[in-house]
Amino acid sequence: MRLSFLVALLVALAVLPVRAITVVPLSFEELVRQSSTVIYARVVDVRGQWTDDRRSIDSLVTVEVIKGLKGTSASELTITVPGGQIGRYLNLLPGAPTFARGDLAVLFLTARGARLPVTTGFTQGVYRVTRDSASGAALVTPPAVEPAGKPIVRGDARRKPVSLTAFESAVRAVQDGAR
Amino acid sequence: MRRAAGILVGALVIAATASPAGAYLKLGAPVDGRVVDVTWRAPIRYFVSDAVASTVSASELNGAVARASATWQGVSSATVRFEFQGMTAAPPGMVDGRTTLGFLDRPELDRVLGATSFLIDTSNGAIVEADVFFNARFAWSVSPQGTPGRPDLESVALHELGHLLGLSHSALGETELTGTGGRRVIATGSVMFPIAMSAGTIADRVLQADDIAGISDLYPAAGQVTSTGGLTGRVTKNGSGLLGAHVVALNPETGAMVGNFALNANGEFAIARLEPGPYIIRVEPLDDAEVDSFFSTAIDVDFRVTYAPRMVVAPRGGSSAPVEIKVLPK
Repeated sequence: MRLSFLVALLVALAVLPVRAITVVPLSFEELVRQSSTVIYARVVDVRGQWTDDRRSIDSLVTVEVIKGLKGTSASELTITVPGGQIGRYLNLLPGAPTFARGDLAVLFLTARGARLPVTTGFTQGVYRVTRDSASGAALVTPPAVEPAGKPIVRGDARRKPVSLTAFESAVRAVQDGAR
Repeated sequence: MRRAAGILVGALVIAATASPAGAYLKLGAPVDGRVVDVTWRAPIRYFVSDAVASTVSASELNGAVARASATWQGVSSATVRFEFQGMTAAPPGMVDGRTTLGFLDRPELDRVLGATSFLIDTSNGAIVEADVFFNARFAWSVSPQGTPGRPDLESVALHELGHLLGLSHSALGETELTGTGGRRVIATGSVMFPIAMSAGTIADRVLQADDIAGISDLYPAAGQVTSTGGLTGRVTKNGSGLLGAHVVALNPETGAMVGNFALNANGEFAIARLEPGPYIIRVEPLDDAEVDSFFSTAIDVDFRVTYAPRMVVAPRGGSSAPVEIKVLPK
């Protein structure tokens, strides 16, 4: 009986019409190559500020660079993300990356001349780092790797969080391939 | 308060504190230590910016927005009202007390077709204003049939107006890798899925069951609360609640799917505004997406897809008894 439920679900999934929306995906290679800076970092401060033109509120996110993977030797960086809070007024952007003090992440950043960098591809440049509950090791969920044209299946047992070291290697492999 | 300035969290972090009594991934704002839904208390009175994009005039933009707003207004189970106030020279994103939709050139957001922003008074949760921008970096289509290679403005407007109404992103969607390593959407069950698919399609102009359940939960029409049902439960892994698990309710009779997440540390979820009847419940990790499109914190995605051990009935006018779904690590 349960099998018929699964079949029904699969059929329902199969006949869904194609539809769209707002963020244009980057490949992992594009993400690495388009980012001027890639860092493993810890957020140490987040504060709202009015944008230069006083039109809106952004957040300044200051991070301690735990390890630079591409493009920087700085020990601390500040980036901007859209949205933030000043006093009682909150500028809220659905789907935008947000940070809190203590957050750990690998950040892919795009430079903007004299202006502060932003995350590459909006949320696509943020890979959150978690800790393995048993070992305490730093883990990152890697991007999906499948043959072209094959659906990415959620829960695929082959796609497990990897060590931060393995993720770094993937970043460096793209860089090395670009040289 | 979980975060100092980064509270925009409000967005999704309904999570850690709120009970999932409502349902659906909705936008939230922190007010007096609790998270409240971001909803409009009056018709949404909006302006359209007269700025143009390379392929679209201001009047064409106005038309696409009007059609998208009419689509949301056409949901009979919800009470949604938009009122066009006129064209304006002011761009979106300016704090001026007006809700404005329009084109902006945002080269630093070269992967973003559009976005919605709210200015919220956190002393009372009121929306001061909200704006929607469509990125003028893209060559848009407003053709009734769509234009190959161009994103459809009405489709993206429909998504952004969903945010404007208070909906967050839905995870009902499936992608595949392209030959160049990018991702392509091959199917979704919601207009609120956050990733763009191949340009040129116009299939995105139609709301799906997930969108309708969400908007009906935020703005229920008369009789909605008593004529629909809900599902409640808890997702656990190794005996602990699993924040961020994606929960999908499938109506096997209609094929309709509605999704939500386990939204607190206890792993509790709720899905409301469902057609009464039995549902298959599937729990899956969000391991194929940018988690930050949904949550502002890391979540555990190391578990296998799991189904509820039995079908669960959404009773008319109420919610199911809580069902526990235990997932296993990969």
